[in-house]
Amino acid sequence: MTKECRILFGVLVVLASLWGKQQEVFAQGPPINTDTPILLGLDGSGIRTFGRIIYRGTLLQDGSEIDDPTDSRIRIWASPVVIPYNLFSDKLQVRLIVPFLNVDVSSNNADNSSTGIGDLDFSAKYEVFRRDAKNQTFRVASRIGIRLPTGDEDDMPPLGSGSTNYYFTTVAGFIKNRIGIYLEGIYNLNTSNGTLDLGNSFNYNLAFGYRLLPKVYETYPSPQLNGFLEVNGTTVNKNSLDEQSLQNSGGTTVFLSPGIQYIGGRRWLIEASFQYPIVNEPNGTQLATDWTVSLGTRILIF
Amino acid sequence: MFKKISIFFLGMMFFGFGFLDSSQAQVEKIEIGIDGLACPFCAYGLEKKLKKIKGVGEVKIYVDKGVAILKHKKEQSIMIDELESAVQDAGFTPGEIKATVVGKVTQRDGTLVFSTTGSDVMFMINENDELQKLRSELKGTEKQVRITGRLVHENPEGHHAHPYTLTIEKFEVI
Repeated sequence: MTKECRILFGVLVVLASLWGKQQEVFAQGPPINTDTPILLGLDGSGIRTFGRIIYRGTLLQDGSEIDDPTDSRIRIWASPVVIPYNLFSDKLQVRLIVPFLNVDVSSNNADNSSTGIGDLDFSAKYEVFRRDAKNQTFRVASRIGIRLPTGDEDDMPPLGSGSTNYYFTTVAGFIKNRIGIYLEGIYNLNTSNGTLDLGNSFNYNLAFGYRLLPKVYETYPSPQLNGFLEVNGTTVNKNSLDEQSLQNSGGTTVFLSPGIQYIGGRRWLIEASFQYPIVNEPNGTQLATDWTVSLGTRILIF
Repeated sequence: MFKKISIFFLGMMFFGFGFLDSSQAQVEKIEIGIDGLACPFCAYGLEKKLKKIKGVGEVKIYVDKGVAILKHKKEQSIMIDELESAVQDAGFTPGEIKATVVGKVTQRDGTLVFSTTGSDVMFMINENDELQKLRSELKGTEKQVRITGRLVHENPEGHHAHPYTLTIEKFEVI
């Protein structure tokens, strides 16, 4: 495989992983990298923005680091604007994500950069189960979504997949007093873009949250500091080109993601998360994600 | 002529305010349990919906206690009928309700009810020791009473009966 192809697929893989993570990274309330079945407050109606940097600069072959004579690097800055709206007594949420992207690819002999809007994402999430008790709740929600090929796939590097893709999510969350536990599964069904078919993927997330401050939450609203520890995994099937499976594509990455979140009032919060790969096993020879940093805010406007 | 009209309207206003005071100052305070309120960031919509209930002046949400306390607007009564649906619409499950109400204990069709002059809203009163004490204090008179007690949604049968029954926890004869 040529260097250009490897970088092109590398960008698409990162973008695909980003699309797969949109619902977890850009739209959920607490926790930071996992969705929530709670559709209320700062998880309900309101505009959110998120800045996320993904850096890939390590070349792996069958999971082991090898020298990269071209010193290729991929850096993606994603700033989506997320607009959710709740309906039917906060049981149904519809959501639009407009992702602004800056993709930068560099190597020894070339630097390329693209900036613009990526693939638009439209989804609906419904609360399918709720059991409430004093100071605790257990809820389950499911989401179906579609990503439209609005990003320019002919740009180099590309900003979109060039295909219409779908995803299905189920998330369960249990919150009791200061502790929250969340479990999520996302299946991404990717269709083909002409001759290129991006492999389907599965995201799996587990999050543990703890209210660090205040110890006793008295009157609403009070400032609140939350800590999170999450495990965020993605397994991607191999891509295929002209119905030929590409050996240097797909694989599994699992991140350990500590995060912190400050809720300062009724209408806003700020949060930050760092993701470090604890399992980094892309198939064949591929650039692997070294780290991801996310910094975000959510503002309720409705 | 203008003076007479002015005096008439002033009189009507005073009469109106007096009527409002006696007929509507019945539900002064509500304490409602909010099951599922485990995440403080979720309380935004709850606060908004509780504030929209007719007659509510002040809302305080105590997250770790899992309760919301509603106080009435001056000379207005909190519309209890809107309470549970407001909590449900906000995405939570309503729990136990405690209320402070002002009115009179009367007897309708052989059943003790708590009613306020000029209002159709009546709560059936559950039998307990506090009711016995109140009866002996009232000695058959119909004095105004302030009662704090538990409201239970039971849909009792009876003419004009409110869907909540009242269990007295404490009272004060005014």
